[in-house]
Amino acid sequence: MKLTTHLLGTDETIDVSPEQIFAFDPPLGGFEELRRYALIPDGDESPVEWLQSVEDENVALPLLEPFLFEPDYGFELPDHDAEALGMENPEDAIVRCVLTLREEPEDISANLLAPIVFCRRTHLARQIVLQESEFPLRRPVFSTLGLAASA
Amino acid sequence: MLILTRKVEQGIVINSDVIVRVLSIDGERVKIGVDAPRSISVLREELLAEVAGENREAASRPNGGKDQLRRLRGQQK
Repeated sequence: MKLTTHLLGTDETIDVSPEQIFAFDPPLGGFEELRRYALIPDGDESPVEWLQSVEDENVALPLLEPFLFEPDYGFELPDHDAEALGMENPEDAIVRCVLTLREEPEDISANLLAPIVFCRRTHLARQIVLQESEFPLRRPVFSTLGLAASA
Repeated sequence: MLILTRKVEQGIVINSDVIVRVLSIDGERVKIGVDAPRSISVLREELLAEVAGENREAASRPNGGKDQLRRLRGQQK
């Protein structure tokens, strides 16, 4: 399907396959009116992916794989979430966290408190707010990716 | 909205398997115990608002973030 996005600068139309589309239920916090998003790679060299709203071209969130910068990251997916997503085995899950880009590189952070879990089998997704989590809402990532020296 | 008055150690039962109990009151601070099955998600309300706010901030600069992204990209190898 064709999708309008501002990811590439101005209005662009890109092609996304049904494989890339995920439905959020409940909707992503802050975007209660939006349900469907496409998962789009940022580029070959980039660790980032974009969660582009299908319904609102202006809404796109950068995502990062948490294990890239936090090897010890982990959480228990509550049974009712696993069930709602239609997870049958661990391989069904794609885990990403929302990356917040800010002016200062040191301020760029990833949200480890509320990871997004995608089920690649059912194409359902939801953001899981972890209870009693040791992981923060804003985890700086720039230095942890081994980047600070050359910044 | 249902509004109930409770004293310390009194509780309310929701849907027969969730019990919310006032444990203690100290000035403006009320300690509340929630006894619920693991399938029930119990979160502080402001935490959800913080997550929603962070999502909105993350979505607010798909283009403005290009420079920072490029740096992340360069660093990642």
